[in-house]
Amino acid sequence: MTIFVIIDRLQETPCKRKRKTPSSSGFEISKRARIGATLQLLPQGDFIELHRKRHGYRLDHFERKRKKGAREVHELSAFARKVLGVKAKMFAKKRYAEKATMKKTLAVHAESSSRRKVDDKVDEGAIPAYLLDRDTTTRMKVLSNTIKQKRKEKAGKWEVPLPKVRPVAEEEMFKVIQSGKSKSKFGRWKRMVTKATFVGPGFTRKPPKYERFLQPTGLRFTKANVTHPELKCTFNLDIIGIKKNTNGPMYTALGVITRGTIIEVNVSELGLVTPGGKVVWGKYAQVTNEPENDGCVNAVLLV
Amino acid sequence: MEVMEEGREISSSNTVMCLLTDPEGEPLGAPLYLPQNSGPPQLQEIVNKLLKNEEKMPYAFYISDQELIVQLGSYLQKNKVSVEKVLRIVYQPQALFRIRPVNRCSATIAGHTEAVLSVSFSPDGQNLASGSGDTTVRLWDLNTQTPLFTCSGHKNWVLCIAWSSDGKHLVSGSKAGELLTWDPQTGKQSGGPLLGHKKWITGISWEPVHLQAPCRRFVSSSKDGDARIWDISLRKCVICLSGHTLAVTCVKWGGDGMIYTGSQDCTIKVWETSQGKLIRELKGHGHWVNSLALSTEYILRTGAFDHTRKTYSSPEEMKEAALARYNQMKGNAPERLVSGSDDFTMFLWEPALSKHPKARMTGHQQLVNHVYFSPDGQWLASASFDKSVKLWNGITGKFVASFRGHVGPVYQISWSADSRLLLSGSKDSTLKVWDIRTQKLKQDLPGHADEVFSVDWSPDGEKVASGGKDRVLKLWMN
Amino acid sequence: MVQYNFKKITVVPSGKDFIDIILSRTQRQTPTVVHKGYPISRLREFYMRKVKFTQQNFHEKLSAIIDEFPRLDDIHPFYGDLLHVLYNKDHYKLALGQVNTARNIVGKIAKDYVRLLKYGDSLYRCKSLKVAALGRMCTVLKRISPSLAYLEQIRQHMARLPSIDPNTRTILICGYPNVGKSSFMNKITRADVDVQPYAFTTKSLFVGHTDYKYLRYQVIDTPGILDRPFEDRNIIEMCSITALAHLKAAVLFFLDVSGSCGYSIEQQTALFHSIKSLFMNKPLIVVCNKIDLQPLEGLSEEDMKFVMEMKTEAIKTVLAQGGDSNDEEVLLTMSTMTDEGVIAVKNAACERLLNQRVEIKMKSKKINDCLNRFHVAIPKPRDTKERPPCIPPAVLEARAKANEEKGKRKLEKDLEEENGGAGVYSANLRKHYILADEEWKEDIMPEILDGHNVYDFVDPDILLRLEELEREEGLHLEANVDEEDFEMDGKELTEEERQLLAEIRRKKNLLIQEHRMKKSTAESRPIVPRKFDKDKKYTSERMGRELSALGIDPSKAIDRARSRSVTRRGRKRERSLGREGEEGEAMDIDDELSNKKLRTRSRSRSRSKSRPPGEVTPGEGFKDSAQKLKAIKIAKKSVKVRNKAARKGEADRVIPNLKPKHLFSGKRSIGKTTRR
Repeated sequence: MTIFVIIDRLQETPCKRKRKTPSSSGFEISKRARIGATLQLLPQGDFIELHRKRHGYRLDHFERKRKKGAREVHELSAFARKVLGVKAKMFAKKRYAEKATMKKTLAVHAESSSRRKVDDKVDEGAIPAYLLDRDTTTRMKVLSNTIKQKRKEKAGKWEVPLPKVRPVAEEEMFKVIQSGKSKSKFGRWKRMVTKATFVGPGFTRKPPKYERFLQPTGLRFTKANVTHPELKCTFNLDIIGIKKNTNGPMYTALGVITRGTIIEVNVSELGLVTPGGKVVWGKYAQVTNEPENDGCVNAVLLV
Repeated sequence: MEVMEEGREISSSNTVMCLLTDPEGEPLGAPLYLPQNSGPPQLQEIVNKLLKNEEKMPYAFYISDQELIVQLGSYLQKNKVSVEKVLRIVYQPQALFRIRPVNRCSATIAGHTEAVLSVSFSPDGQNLASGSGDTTVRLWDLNTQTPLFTCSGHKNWVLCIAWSSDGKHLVSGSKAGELLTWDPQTGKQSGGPLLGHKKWITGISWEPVHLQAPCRRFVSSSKDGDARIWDISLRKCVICLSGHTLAVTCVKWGGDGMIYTGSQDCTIKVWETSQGKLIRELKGHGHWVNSLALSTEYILRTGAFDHTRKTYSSPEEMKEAALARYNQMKGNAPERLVSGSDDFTMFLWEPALSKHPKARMTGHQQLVNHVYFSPDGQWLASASFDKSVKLWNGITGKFVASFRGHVGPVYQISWSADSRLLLSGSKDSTLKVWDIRTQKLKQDLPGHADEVFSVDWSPDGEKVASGGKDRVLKLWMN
Repeated sequence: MVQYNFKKITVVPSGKDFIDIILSRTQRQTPTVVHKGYPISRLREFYMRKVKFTQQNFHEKLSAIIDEFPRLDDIHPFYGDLLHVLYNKDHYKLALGQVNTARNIVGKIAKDYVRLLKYGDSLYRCKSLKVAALGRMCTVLKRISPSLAYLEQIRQHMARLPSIDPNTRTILICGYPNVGKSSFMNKITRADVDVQPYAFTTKSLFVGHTDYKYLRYQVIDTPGILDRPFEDRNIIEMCSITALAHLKAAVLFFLDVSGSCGYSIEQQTALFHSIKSLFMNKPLIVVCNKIDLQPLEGLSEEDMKFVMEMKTEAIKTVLAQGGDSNDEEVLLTMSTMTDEGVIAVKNAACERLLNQRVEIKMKSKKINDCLNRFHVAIPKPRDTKERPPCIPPAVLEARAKANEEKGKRKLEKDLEEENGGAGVYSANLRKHYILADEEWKEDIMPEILDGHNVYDFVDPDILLRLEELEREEGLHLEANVDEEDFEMDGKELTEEERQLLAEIRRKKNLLIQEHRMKKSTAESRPIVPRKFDKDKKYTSERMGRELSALGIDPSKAIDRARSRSVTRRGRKRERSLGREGEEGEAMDIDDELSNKKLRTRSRSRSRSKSRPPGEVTPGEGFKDSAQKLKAIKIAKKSVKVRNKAARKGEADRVIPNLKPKHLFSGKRSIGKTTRR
């Protein structure tokens, strides 16, 4: 049955456009999203074009078109004057973007007509020919000096991106929880942490009688979005532990993550290498947002 | 025959029937009965005698792709091979000389103000050149390990440099697309820039010295999809090889007067050099072709120079010597070509015979960035972004070993002249030396502060040069 | 039966529009008023609702996309392969897959944030969590915007695909490019396919319909196919191949015997053989086209051999189906140029297809259910005598006569022939006029007479109306005669009385006027505006002074001025005060007193006298009066209704847009005033 062979082959026509990139972890969509741009479709059912080819345009087509074009600006301005509220905001934003791009394109055209100086500039960060066509976003710098780094860590002092951190009051941090039947103040020794926490994989709660602080599961985080300040790119990494919460050692012990907390993250995915050629896997990062307000932990890698 | 019969009479239980073959599979004489207590030294003597070599050559012996190190008897016991069957032993000639592995950094020479993109020793191993992102080509004094000349003239990053195989010229190609020729003796630019390429240069290859004695022609490939043959005495482009629809990534000038180009359009094209006609188109890769290597490449690069440091007075003499070396290396087999690609595979071709690949080599889990034949053509190494270097049989294309140890993508590899050691440079800032015999890591060479972009092992085997993103050039010795 | 209609897929908005739609919907359809003072559970509820609502909307919209786009595995293989050829299945699936992933991710985000919102302990925290949740959902959507754009492009293209029913009676036209496939199509159907003298004019499938034996046939025109390996074929050719492979149809293989298409018969034969596997089990007819240029008989021997080869192949297919072949049905000649044999080809194809379909249906099991339901009764002839239908001779005669008459009547056409033929003869239209008098027909009627357009004065029913008027007048006259008997009122008055009446009316009128004038001046008498009287120099004293200077007694005027002001002010007080200021003289002083009294009385009732008016006493847990004041202010503010309509105050009745366009512009049947 040759026909089936043909049909079978029909379905496995090789597609050379698609680049098979081995997937790394994380959100896949952005990588694949490139496909949309290359689409080119055959003309299909172009009856309007066919009619125009045979009979030409309507007699007043161009006149109407000109008028419509001329009217458009007026209509737009009338709309701009009339529109209110969120629509006005959206409209203004769109208008602004249009104008900005137009200005840019005009500038580009002006430049291209005036002088041609494209290749004269020597860029920073030379790379060999075999890397020129490749994506270079994931390139990492080798850590400079391990000993210095270690000494710094021992001293517990870092140059942190957020040197001043708002102190968090105890009332804000903890919520009093009534335990037991007693309505007196003696029954109110239990506290719930209202901030984001990290508890580690092997965490078990104490028996209720001895459990003074609750870390609600809903506010536990295990991943952080860590930005590498030099590469200007962000990765979603596992949190290994809490190094220091500036509000006090108790918070550190409880694993409370607030703005300014130093956390340790697993950077093995980044492929950072020591000069000896070993992979670095744990590094410190400082939290830059209020996780309980944003629902995620954002941090900056300390390098 | 008498020996054989005697052997049988002595003790048939202590002998084993062996068939000695060369790497191509040609048997050397009839099968022999060999005593089980005979080891590689005895076999070596037998082979030397059978081949009637005047001077004794070292040989290595392989039984089903595994090197024979112990005596035959213990091998048979260990691997439980039947004594009844004929044992096929493959002998492979080894280099007469032995190169010691490098183990220390002898000099770290700063000078370049941007990343070092390519380093290359001259064919005689006496000079070293490097091209960098600071738009200069620098020549280095190997004896004092200091900068010798700084050749500035490029408009953009110097991506490629190539020595002519007589060592008289140095060509460099830049990201701006121009090519410059330098005189290595004076460090001066000879003539103006060779213009023609519209985008950056991706590769340069000289015409082998055994085809034309004072080197005149070379071929360059570019991102713009063309390869061009230039003549340095006419100082112009002689032939433009156009046909690739995408960037040409790699170009090699073969020993039989053919040019091979690999391109991002997934094809390899074979060109004829006198008129620039397309002879063959080798299809098979599903993605960009990144790198090409020829089995004779090392010989073509070094030309007439070998480990003996012989010097030649006239170009004719050099040509003859080079031709002799080439023929000896090639033997009667055709030139083999290997291509490494973004589709994670490699193909072994014999372009002179067929347009279909001889073997497909799979196993890498990331793109293959660099492939290289060992100087004797027996081995084939590939560097991949999956952090490994793999070793393959250079004749059949069979997988031999995988060298793991790098923690970053491996960018470049280089062979020692005796084919016993392999050097690899990686993004993880280290160089590593691998031993082919034991298939183990021989030496780890940390020291660079950042990615290593280029490595080269000098043809005389004494030094290794490496350059990378940390802007320094490092020389390694033993 | 499944109908394939891709025209109904809803529009896929671009990523940006998508976000705008969803967010504005959240804004409009969830409550917007929230206060800090609300209980926390209500606040959480408020923001959770927003997050969930947004997620639901995303889910609905994305699901709609996923459901509406056809799944390539589920639809008829013909469409499946056609869509694969046109859009590449991998891309298509990938795009839909991304939409699906995005839907799941949005769901996950909503779940996470709703969980976090449960721990929200302030309005601010809840709000920032909501903002973060919505923001992340929008980011996800932004990421898939290329896919959405791709799907929209596909949707537009799919909507334009011809609506081919893969199961109906179908005739498929195939062959090399430029052999006259489209011309044939135009000849037998009403489809208007573009025909041009170059190859690949037809770039896609076209469908038309034709009738044969009261049945409708679908005719599909395919793009030309070249004879080359399968891998090298381009998308245009692949459309044809797909149609050939999947449609159960009668195939017409077109052969250009003249070779004017640019391909020799040999090449065309090669193509025939290479795609012959696709003709299996289908009625196949080899059609030799363009015989006006090159009749089949005049072909060279070799070419004839090729044609015969094809013919035998075609016969084989017939035999394979178990039919018995006659040569004419398999190889047909025609010329679309001269219309020679076109209908024959069509009929042959339809016939063959019909036969085949009937045969297949007869073989199928289902047919038994139908067959045993109908029965055609044919009465047996009882003898050999023929019994034709009987027509009475009168009828026959009448018919013959009618025919004759028809032939005899002189037509306008005949007249034209007699009077010099077309172009010379001008038909007389006047002879058909229907007028009262036959003679008027030829009268000359001027259009303009004495500078007037005659037509303006033409009134076709003037006579009728005249008659009517006259009748009316007659009636009036009669009525008048009756009325003569009565006396009208006016007639009763004497002359004197009439004069008096007039006088009265005049006077009345005058009075009214006077009153009006007085009223207007009194009310709108200009008072010296305050701005010209900053230092209050226009006082009643001054007026008195000035008046006395003129020698007039000012007391009355002053009284008047005062009384006016008093009355005006006084009236207000009256109600509260009851009686007091009845007498004008004591008014000023009394007023003061009464006011004071009033104040003291009311004060004593509410608070102790030691407090200054309007002071706020601390208490109710407030530290001091300032704190309490602040609290009161905040409390007032919190219950203040939000100024939704953006009014300045209750007096502000401005309507920003008096006539909203959408309410007042005309409703057009199609489009709008500005755009149709």
